[in-house]
Amino acid sequence: MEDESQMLEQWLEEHGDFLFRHALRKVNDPSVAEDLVQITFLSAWESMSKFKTGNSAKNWLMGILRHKIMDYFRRLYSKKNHEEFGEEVLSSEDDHGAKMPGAGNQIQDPMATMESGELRKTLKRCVNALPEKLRFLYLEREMEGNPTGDLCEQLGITDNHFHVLMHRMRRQLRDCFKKHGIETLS
Amino acid sequence: MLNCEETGRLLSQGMDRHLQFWEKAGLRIHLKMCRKCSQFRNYILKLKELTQREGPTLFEPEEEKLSDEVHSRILDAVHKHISSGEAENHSQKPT
Repeated sequence: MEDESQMLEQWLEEHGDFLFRHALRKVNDPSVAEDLVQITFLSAWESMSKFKTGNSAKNWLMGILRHKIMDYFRRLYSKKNHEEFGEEVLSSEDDHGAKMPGAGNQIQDPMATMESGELRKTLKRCVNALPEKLRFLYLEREMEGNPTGDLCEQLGITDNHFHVLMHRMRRQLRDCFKKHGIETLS
Repeated sequence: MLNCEETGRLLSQGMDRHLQFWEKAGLRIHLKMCRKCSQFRNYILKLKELTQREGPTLFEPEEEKLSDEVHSRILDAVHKHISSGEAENHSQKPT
C-alpha cells in the first residue's frame, strides 16, 4: 500500500502540471481543471491494480483524465437548457433572408488580409469567448478532427444535436470576428 | 429548392458528415444564385484551414502549473482517500 501511495505522489510530482495544462486547454477554467486533475488521481488510486508497471504512467493518467473530461462535458450537454432553443430560433434569422441583388450589402474590407499575429490573437480570443460546450466541440472536432460519431457517443448527444451545436459555434465565431473587424478570413 | 437557412445548415453539416448526392446538388444550385451563402461557405472552409494551421500552438497554456496549494490539496485528498480505503480493508481482514 505504501509503495502505491508513494508512486501516486511521484506521479503527481512528475505529471501533475502536464495533466493540469491539458485539462485547462479543454475546459478553460483553472478551478475546473484542478478538480479534474484531482478526480483523475483519486480514480487512478482506485484502479491502481489495472496499471501494469513498465507502462507509461503519463499515458495511463492521461487516459483517465480524458475520460473525466468527457464525463464533465457529457453532463453539460445533457442539461436541458431552454435558453439554447431560444438562441437557435433567433440566430437562424441573422444571415438568411432576402438574397441580395446586384452589389448586395457586402462591406468592403480593404484590410481583409490581417497580419497573422493579429489574426491568431483574435482567433484565440473568440474561441475562448465561446460558451464552453461550443468551445469544446471546436477543439475536439474542428481542431483535432475527432470523428463525429465518436464524439456523439462519448458526449451522449444525437447527430442532430451535434450538427446544431457546430453550426451555432461557426456562426458565433464569425460574429465575433466581425466584431473585431475581420470580415473575411484569408 | 433550398432556402438560405437550410443551405447554411447543410453547409455546416457538410464539414462533419458526408452529404448525399441530392444534398450536394441542392447546395450547388443555391450557391450559384446566392452570394451570402457562398460567403458563408468560404468562411467555414477558411475557418477549418485556419484552425488546423494555428490551433495546435494557439491553445496551449504553456506556463501553467498546478499551484503548490493545489498540489498539496490533491495530495491531501488522495491520502484521505487512501486511508479511508485502508481503514475499510483493515476492518474486513479476517482475524
